[in-house]
Amino acid sequence: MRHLQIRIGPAGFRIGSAWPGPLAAMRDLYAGYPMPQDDIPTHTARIEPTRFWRRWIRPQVAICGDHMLMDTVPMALRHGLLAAEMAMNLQMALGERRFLLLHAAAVERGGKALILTGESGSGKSTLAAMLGEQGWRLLADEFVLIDPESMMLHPFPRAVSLKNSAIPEMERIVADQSRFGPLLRDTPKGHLRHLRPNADAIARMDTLAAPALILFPRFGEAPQVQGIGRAELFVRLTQGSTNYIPLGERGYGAMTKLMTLPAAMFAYPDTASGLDIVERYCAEVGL
Amino acid sequence: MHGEDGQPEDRPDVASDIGSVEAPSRAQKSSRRDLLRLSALGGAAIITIRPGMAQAAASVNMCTIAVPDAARSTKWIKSDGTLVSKNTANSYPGPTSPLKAADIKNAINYNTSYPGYTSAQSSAYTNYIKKLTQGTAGFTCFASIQNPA
Amino acid sequence: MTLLYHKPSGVTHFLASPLPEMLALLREVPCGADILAERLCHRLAIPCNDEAVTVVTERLAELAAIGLVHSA
Repeated sequence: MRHLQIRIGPAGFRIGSAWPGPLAAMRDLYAGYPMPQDDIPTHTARIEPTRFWRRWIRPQVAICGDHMLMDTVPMALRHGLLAAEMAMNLQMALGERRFLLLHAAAVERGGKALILTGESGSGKSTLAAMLGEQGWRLLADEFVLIDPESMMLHPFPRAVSLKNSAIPEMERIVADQSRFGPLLRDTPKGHLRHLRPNADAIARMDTLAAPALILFPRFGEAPQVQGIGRAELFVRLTQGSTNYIPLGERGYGAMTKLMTLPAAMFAYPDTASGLDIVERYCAEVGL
Repeated sequence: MHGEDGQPEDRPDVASDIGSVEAPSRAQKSSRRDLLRLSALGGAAIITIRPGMAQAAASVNMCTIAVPDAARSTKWIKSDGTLVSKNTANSYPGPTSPLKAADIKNAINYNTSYPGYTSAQSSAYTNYIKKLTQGTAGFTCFASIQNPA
Repeated sequence: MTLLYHKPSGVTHFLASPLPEMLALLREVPCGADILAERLCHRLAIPCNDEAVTVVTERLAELAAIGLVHSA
């Protein structure tokens, strides 16, 4: 078992792998990231064979760590990097208690944060990645971390997961090819390629931001904007929070405060229209 | 939907239905119209937040809940989940072995029955579980079922 | 809709009127469905009739089903 340690915002990861390949890919993807604070990881993730012989024979990758899921479908070794990323997600989703987690992406401008949230396939990752290349600072892709006491957003700049058509879109825009991970074909989520946040996002991962606007994008439809009632907002936000209930009253308090932020939903047919709608909303709230 | 126990609906995806609702902290002047609207529509007056966790649907949980808890094991469970003396009308003895987390989760979310028990018995057991509070044996398991910890 | 965090169970609920008003009344003085209906109608300044009693009785049962109230 080999290990890699990286710090991403307030989370220090120790990632173990029975195979050297995925770990090397991880090391490349997260080049330039700091080590865990005081060398003490806050989360441990591992990818290992489902049975000992599966290390060599038609290898099957299981994800585990401090927290585990039973009965998950094993992954192929060629998707080992994805498995390692999912292992990190799992540890955050099941183990993080210091911060309220939202299933969302976030970008920052002028000290204020735009939170893009919604189900998988909504396009939030792609929009965030695009904004990150257009002068915004990328704060997060998979998980947005909110401190329940201060309500500040703590950046968690993981590599962005680009899926299917988003891959060529970002490849056209990002000049530095070394920021991309390998192209993973035919994963459970389709084609996937990881993109490392730019140097500014990494350098300023400890600079907090104040949430100012929550948007729910919906990719693949004619442009349409819609307000969102407070009660609906609360339900949607809790739906996308993996640790709302374990946080108890702290989570409730944080969510009721988040619920007072400006929020809206919008549908968009392509990235350009989506970005346009985003900028218009931002102008409205002074972001 | 009101079962004989007046079970509230669990509808975390109610977005469109309550989209027009007012901010919760604002003091509302309720009117006769509100009361009538509720009774006429028979709509859900209680929406319980049960965040989904699609990615972690297969619970990490191996925990079980004894129904009722060991301290009150001689009691029977009424259809609304309260504990009563043996042989009280509309009540059932508890399951012979503790209920499993995965079964409880399905019963809460999809109204399924526990293996080997009728739907009336299962409903009673689930109602008992839903009333568990901190300090009662089984609460920690119940809390972790709602969101795997 | 009123948001409620129930500390003993850690569960969050949305309650539609008149449930929050019913809970507030019960917290002040516990009572049964009939008296609660009278007090509720008085508080809301609406006439108390059979319909109101039916609604209150049903809604009280819902509150009991999810553990927000207990019958003595």
